[in-house]
Formats: sequence, C-alpha cells, structure tokens
Amino acid sequence: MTAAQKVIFPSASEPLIEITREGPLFIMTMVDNENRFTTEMCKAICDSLDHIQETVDKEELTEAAVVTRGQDKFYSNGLHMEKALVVPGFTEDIFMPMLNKILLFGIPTIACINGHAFAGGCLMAMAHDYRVMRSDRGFMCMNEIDLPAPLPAGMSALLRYKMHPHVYRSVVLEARRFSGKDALVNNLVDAVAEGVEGTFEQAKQVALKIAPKAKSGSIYGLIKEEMFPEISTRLLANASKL
Amino acid sequence: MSPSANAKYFPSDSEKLLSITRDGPVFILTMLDGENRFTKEFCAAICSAFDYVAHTVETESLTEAALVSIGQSEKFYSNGLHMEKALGVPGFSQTVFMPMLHKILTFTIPTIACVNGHAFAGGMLMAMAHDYRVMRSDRGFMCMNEIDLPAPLPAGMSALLRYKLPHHIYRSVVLEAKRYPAKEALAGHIVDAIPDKEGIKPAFELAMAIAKKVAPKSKAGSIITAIKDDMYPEPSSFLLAGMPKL
Repeated sequence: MTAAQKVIFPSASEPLIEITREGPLFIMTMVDNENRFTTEMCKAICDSLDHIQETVDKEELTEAAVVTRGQDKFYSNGLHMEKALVVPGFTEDIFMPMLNKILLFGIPTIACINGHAFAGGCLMAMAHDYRVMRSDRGFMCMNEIDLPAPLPAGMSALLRYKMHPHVYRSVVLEARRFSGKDALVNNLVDAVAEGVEGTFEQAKQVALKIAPKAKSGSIYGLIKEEMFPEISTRLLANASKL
Repeated sequence: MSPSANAKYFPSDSEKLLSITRDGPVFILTMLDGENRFTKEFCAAICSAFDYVAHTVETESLTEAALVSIGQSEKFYSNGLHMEKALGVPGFSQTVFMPMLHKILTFTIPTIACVNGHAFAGGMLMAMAHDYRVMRSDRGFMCMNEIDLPAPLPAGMSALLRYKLPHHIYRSVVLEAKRYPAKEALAGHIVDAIPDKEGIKPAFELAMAIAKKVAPKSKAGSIITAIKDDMYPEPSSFLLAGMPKL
C-alpha cells in the first residue's frame, strides 16, 4: 500500500471504510454518511483493524497509530434503526465485540470526532485510547434514557471506566449533549480544534506523539487488557459462542 | 420547612418519622426525627415512602417525576446509624441499612438529596445513594468517620462511595475521615451544587430547581432501575450480598 493507495472495506464497489497511510499513521475513514452501525459496517471496521495489525506486524513498524474519522457532519450516529437496533443479538454478538476489539487494539487509537457522535457513535469514540473533537460543531451524547432504551452492562462499563463519576452520571442519566468545549472540560476528549480539517490535523498531531509506543509490540495490547478487564468481560459476556 | 396539610406520614399519622409532600412533579421526602438516626423503624419508613412514591408514579402514569430528600432540623440531614438500636444490632447493616441504600441507589425516578446539615457516616451514605446532591453553603459537614470510631466499612458501603467519587476524594473520605464543608464538597464532586446564599431555604430551592430539570427523565420508567443497576454493578450486588437468598 503506497501513500496514495487506498484499502477499502468491504469492497471498492461498496465502500464503508477507506484506509490510507500518512507516515506512521493509518487513517480509517468511515464514508457511509451517518456511519450507522450495521452488520456490514461492524465487519468492515473489524476487518480494517485486522488489516492494519497485519500490516504493522509484517512491516515490523516501530511507530504506528490508527486515526478513525467520519466525514462532514457525522462521526457516527449510532446503531442503524432497522438493520441493527431491532435485530436480536446484534448488540451482544456484533456491536459489543467490535467495541472490545477497538478497546484492546494492539497499537494506539485516536478518534477524530469530526461531527456528531451519538449513542453507539459515542461508544465507538470512547473505546479509543484518545479523542480529538471538533470545537465548533457536533455533539457527543448517550441518548438511551430518552428513547428509552436500556444501556447494556458492557456499554455502561466502557463509559464508567473512562469518565469521572459525576460526568458519567450526567452522560447516562441526563443524555447530556457535550459540545467539543464541554467534552474537553470534562475530560471526555483530550483536545479540540476548529473545523473538520483543523480537527483532523490536531488528531494527527496527537497520534504522531503516541505512535512510538507501538514499539512495545504485542505488549501494548496486553497492557490494555489489564487496564480494562471489567469492561472487556462485560462487552463479551453474552456473545454467542460460534 | 414544615409539611403541609396534604402530607403523607410514615410509618403512620401517629408516629411521624418522615413525610411525603408534593410540589408539581417533585415528591419531597422530609425526615422529621431530629438527628434522623437509622433504626429498623426509620429504615422501614424510608423504604415504605420510596415504595409509595414509585407506586404513585405508576398509578398516576406520571411522565415527569423526581424525589428530593431533606432533613427537617437546622443541624442534621442524618447523623448515621443509631448507637444502641442499630450499630449494636448484629446483621443490621446487612439486612436493613444496605438494602435501603440499594433501593435509593437504583430508584426508578431521579433522586436529589438536599443536605441541610450534617451528613455523617450512614447519613453521608444515604446522600451518596441519590443521583444528585445539593448542600447548604454555610453549615454542616459530610464525613465518613468509621476509621475514627473505629468501625469497619462494609464492602457495599465502600463500593457506593468508590463508584460515585473521584478516586483521590474517595481515598480521603474513607482513610482520613475528612470533614467536608459545602465548598470543599463541591470542589471534590461530592455534591453537585451549593447555593450562593446561606441557609436551608436557598439550598432547598436549588434542589427543587434541579429536580424539576431532571424530572422529565422519569418518562423512561422502569428502564431507569436497570440503567442504574448497570451503572453501579458492584455497589448494587454488594449492598444486597447480606440478604438471604430466596
């Protein structure tokens, strides 16, 4: 894969994720408008991560990081209404295992929150090691309590272990909307910048700074396993055994 | 803050340990028993009152509801477990007090504790079990003084604090028996808001304002208990660990 080449999942005729490279960075762009989670989108994300890990291993990279992003108005607006929310077993068998894969990924992960990150989209961002968010547009929000819908234990744990308790309480019980500035003050995100391009540049800066940690190889993922055991067990708790 | 003529008393009209009154969507639970120390009767009255509120929300099909708790006296929200009638009673924590905390922790509508005075030990735990806390700005401390008594801090109680507080605050609350006046409680995220003015009335009004703001969330109904159970899994299971299995 040269810098100019893209790797597309699931296929060039049905692009959901496009992977490009910039130096040590793997840029994973979700190109499906609201980037709502379906079986296909979740598989594309997992396949993309597998591809990136294989590339890192094969090329024996000592510096590497993944930056995920959406386009324009949306990072991701959450689970797809018809194709996911109402599909029995989707959350346990497909969505939560995908979150776990991001959570424990073997090289640093940075979410470039270019726009709205609602519900499942917010969870995907929180599963990353770092978050950079656009300051001038877009919200992070967990709106389950307003639907109303339950918040499965694994998803609740993912938020709980990554947020201050009083912020977590407001995120879940108020469905509070966090602008980039609110998210920064409350440590939901690590940095903010103006505009889609500005946010992407800032995300790449954060990624370049942490990329050398990939030198730790498989230890990076093992360290994360020991950081998040309570999240991980719950995310995988009810997945059907294949 | 004396209850109005429409107050419902618990456990009964002839033994008024606490009252429930209503103001719009808000149910106000006023503890009337001086230091409001926890005994078997007082805990039972609190549980009955919470059950009554939940039942009323259901039968009236309320889409907006919240509960504000407050002590009646100038000096005390609650001073904790009663010396003779609780602290000395084997099994009291496991079978009476902690299940009561669990009920508050996972309650089906938003809960706001108006800390009108001292909240020591069990009193602080009761306040922490609520979703939100408002404290009067001029008087009273929140404190967990078990380490000074000394007395153990059972797993469920410790977990309740641990899951709601920043870690360095939890450490100081439990290991130092540190006394937190309002401003420090606010800075430490032990409480969510304190009024600018002194006295109980501004604190109560602030609690009511928060209650009215979050009351619409109760529309989610019984899902709220499931959401809170999953927010606080270890406190939830540890608080009930001492209950006999059915």
